[in-house]
Amino acid sequence: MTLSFEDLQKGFANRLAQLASTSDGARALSMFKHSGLLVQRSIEAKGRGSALKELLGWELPDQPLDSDHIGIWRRPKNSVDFMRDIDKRQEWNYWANTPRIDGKAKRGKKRIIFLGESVARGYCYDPQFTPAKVLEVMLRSQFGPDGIEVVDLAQLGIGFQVGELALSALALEPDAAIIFSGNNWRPDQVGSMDISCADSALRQQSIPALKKLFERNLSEKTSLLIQTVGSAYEKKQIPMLWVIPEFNLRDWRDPISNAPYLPADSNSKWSFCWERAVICLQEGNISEAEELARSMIELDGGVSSAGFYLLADCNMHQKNDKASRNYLEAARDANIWSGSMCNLSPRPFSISQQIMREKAVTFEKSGILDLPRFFEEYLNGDLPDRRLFLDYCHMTSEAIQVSMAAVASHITSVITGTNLPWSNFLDQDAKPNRGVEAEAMFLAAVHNAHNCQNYELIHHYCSTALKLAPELSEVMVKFAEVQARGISVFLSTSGEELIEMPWPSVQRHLFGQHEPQLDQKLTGAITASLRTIGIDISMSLNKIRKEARSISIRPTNLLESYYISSADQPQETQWTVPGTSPYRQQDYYRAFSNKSRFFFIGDALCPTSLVLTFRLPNSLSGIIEIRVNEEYQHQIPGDCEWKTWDILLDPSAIGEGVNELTIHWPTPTYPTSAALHLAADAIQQGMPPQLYCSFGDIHSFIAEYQPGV
Amino acid sequence: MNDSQRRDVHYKPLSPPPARLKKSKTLNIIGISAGYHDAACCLIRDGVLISAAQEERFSRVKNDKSLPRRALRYCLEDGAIAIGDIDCIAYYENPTLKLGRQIWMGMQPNISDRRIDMIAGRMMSPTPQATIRSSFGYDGPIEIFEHHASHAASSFYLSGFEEAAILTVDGVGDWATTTYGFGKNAQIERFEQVDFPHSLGFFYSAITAYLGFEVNEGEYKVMGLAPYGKPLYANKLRSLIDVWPEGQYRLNMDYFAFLTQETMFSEKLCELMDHPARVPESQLDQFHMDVAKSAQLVLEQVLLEKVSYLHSRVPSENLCMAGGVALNVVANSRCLREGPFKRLFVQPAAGDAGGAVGAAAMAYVQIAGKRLEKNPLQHVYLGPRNLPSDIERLLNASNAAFLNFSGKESELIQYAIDRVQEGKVIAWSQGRMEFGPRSLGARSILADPRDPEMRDRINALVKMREAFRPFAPVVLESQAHKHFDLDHPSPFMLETCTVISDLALPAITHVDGSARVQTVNHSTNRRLSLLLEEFDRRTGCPILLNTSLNMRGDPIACTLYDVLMCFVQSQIDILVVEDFVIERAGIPTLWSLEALKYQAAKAKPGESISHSIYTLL
Repeated sequence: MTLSFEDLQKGFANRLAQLASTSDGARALSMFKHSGLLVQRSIEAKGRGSALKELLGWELPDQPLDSDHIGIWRRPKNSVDFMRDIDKRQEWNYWANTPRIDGKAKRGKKRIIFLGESVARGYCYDPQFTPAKVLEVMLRSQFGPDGIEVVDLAQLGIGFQVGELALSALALEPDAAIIFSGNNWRPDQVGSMDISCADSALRQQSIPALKKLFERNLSEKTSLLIQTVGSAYEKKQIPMLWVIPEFNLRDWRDPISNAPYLPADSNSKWSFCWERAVICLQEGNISEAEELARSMIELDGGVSSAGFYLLADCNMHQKNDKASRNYLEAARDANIWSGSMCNLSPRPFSISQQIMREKAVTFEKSGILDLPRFFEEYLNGDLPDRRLFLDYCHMTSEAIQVSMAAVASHITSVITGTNLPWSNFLDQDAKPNRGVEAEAMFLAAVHNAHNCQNYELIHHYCSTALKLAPELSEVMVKFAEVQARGISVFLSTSGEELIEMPWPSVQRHLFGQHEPQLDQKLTGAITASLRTIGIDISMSLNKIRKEARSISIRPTNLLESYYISSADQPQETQWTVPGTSPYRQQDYYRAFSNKSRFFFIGDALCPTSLVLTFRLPNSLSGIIEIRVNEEYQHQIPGDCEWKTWDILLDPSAIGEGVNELTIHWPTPTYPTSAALHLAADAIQQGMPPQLYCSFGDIHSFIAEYQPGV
Repeated sequence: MNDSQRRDVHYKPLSPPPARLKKSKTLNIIGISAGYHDAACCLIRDGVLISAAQEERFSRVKNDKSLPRRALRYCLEDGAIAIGDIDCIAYYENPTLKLGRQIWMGMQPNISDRRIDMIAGRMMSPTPQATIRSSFGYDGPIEIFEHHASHAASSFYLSGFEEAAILTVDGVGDWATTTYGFGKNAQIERFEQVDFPHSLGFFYSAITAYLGFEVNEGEYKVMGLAPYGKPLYANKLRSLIDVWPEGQYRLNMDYFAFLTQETMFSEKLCELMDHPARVPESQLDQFHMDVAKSAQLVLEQVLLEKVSYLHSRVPSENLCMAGGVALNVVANSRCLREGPFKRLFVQPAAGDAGGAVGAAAMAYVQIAGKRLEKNPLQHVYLGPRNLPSDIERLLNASNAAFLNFSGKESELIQYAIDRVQEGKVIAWSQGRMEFGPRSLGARSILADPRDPEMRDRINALVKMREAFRPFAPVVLESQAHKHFDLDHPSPFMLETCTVISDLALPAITHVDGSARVQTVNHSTNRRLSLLLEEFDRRTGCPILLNTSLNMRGDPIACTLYDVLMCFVQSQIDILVVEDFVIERAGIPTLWSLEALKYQAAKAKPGESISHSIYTLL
């Protein structure tokens, strides 16, 4: 039989496919690719345009001065002014509520453009009180009411795209520009970086080496951004001010996760040190706690925040704020490599802050406002905390005022040559009213609760809000009701009542992407705060919860995000988050520590059963322990195969309303070497690597009422 | 109960009975299709197809191709089994064969860098087996079946035929695009196939693209447009296909670009037709209708020839068809009417979603050594249902004005028919959702088919689709023969036939006098049958217009939330969801904000499929 040319080619393709379908074949192909031998990957060889695209996700515009698009604004044909683009209306809420921007400033009026991210937007205060408005009020004290304008171009969530925005904003012919950004500057995900190095780092069991890759990547991105934007503005002789953001070091705590896979079976030692150090700290044995924390850092190479937090706590205990600051900054930076895996909140990493300090000032017309140093001075050496921050990075009105006063001082100096101290710019007119401040405090409570912060902090913001504006209680009550019922705010009667209340910031920030959550801690804080002003909602909330969510109505899926969001275990619950996360590693619950928390709504003493499908993927065999409301219930054997168990709970352990159920997992056998090889394979394939050891996996977990028992 | 409220209880801990290991005693096989378009999952338990659903219904990404993780969870829950109770996962195509085809595409001259990158990426991507293991945590056996074998099995094993000839035709799967075979009892054999790039599916998709419709979506539109045209270009289009002896044919690749470019057809097709391709959404004129008619005719002719060839090799009275082309109901009907076979079975999810069922059925045959139980397929209400108690709770917690007909089914039917007679359009969500591309009375929009304005009205209210596309009728099975030229049940809306009714049925009668009929009876859809009976009793018409409950571009509604959001976004007059009714005026104002949120949350890049070119990679 004569085979056609096409048949011959197909045979070749099939043989190659068979090879590529073997694990060695696919790995060899991938290594060829990532070695650069098959594909030209060198950024230098592609020129700056490609580097921008590759690193920052945008390219240099051909004619920045003639840009017809600036953010959500578009310049219609034959017009000099910019109008809000109707095609981008879904994004409008991320920007200032400005329908039109004049193409040029009016004659004799100075124009300052103000760019940045949610911090610069005035998150939680916007639209009533924003940094740009404050700055404008302050500058007018020097330039007169018609002498200056601040164009607010800050956008919620903007990252390195702020550079592209800054270049397009040249079309507004500004007299000066301020970029208040850096909290959303993150390194790429591991799959986008130098995979050959990442592969080697993992195969050599070195997460610290992987961390260095992330730091290098962030460093390159930050440098390129500042270089690109700085040169463009320098060329036009337009002064720039880069505002280096600060972080809420004292009050913000990242949820602590276990260490990732460590070399030489160090994970068990690390866990021992951690558990022991926590106890020592609680008992006031600071020196031992400190020693154990240092051992943890030595073992993990600084890739976990846990050791740094412990050291910071030890130093705070000894009133050593300087050392505490260093450790808290190290804790903030420790997880730079695992940001997406651990759902890390926005933050300025030290590496970006340092590059801003060094690079921005290399341009004659550029300056910096170093907020970490400025706030340190403002607080007389104290650590930044809830006085200045609403959460991890968003500022209180006090911080907005003082930082904008410093900005105003700098801008006045570069435009007029007059040096005035920042305190001269503090203005009573630039303060939010009591209601706006109260709304911000309540929103801060919600935001902190949804980011696993501690009860005391959440309660602080709730009670502060009520002290400022007791009438905000009606918002809190309805919000708690909405969460208790657990249906979308727009669908429920309570939600309708809530939305009709005249609280603009609440309306802007609370409902946009609202997904109902059990919010156990937050509703607890709300309930406690309301009680102090004579309002008791505990009974009514419990009634709503039971009507809507009790297991006596229908079985409860304990893995549902509504319930599990209250566990404060973001690493464990990331897979339940609606939408598609590139780091969705598996479609089931995976425990990364020795304790997992779950919640359900029950009636006191109600007969309750569980149906649990679990396995211990890294244990040949082991025993899990189940507790309800901290009362022991069962020990169940498990191994690496999925097994399903019917479990009856002791009814006397079931309380009225929200019940907490915990699973205590046995210590796994850490398969470090094999796991990190698999992780390296995964990143070569563009898949998320598994860098943390699973203590136990749960595929399904149901709680149901058992009336017959 | 929060910390501050926790009651102070100090019971002596009792010892609850020890936990009991729970193990399914049934043979549970999961079928999966994914990675191409219309990802789906099904559960066959002890030889019975228990559950099946497309991932798009849960993810709300039309034609979602991602691993059907939500659909799997649904199947496990519906079957009351756990991940450890799965005896086998059957995957619907052979990834190595598919990769071979993709690599061969990459070896073509003048291929774009982008496509080379994509193919190289495929070579380094994890296999579906690895993805199933890592995503689902599944560590049991995985059986791999070829794409067209899955299609063939999905049809034959559910057909109820003891023996049949089997024809599968689609765009492409792994290598094959058309296969010829036969089935006897539990055995299926293929004796011939046509390989990529020669594909009747691609021929039709290329014309779909040329006519300015979305590939993989707009093929229905070409079929609907065809009756408006004349086959003036049939000879020209026939020259695109070189029909060879036996089962073979070849596409004239000069006219097709899909092998190397991100478009289906080449410039040469435009030259041949002496007309540029239609710009999407632009005016449709007679030329486009004539091209549609011509393409439809050519497809039917080639299919008829190949069906005759198949009969010459397998002289059975029964024909089973599957694959995307088998969703061309006009061609199916012609094959049955004019071809040599007496009976035709088309599996209702004939496209790739149905591959999940076929693969699972083959795995069952392998393990159990026999065919599926409950054969032939009785219905496709295999998806999730909305519980009346959940609906009532949500409505009670809202400001919606609603009517509760719980325990009053007859009154609900009366109410609904009153509204239909008033000319109202009804969103009808009842029981388990349909599996496959058609709404068959579980997630439907219903209306009076006698109303000459109804087609335009529904288009204006919700569907926003092209005016030329017909709506389908649903008719009582017992009365179907009086109104349609149909001598057998058509429960899956997979055939067209001539409308012979004495009644004027303008809303469901196509320009050529045909209709795409669904028949129902009490055993498969009781409540819809009751509705039709009441309409018949009052009007003498046992027929309603039936179209899918979705907004344009959306998958068919699945959950209560989807149903509500579809109702809110559209201008449909009335929603009947299980025992509850909401009239348009009863919708709270703020629900429209929820609908905006619902819309905004939909876009999920990476999971949707391309509509400019068939999903080749």
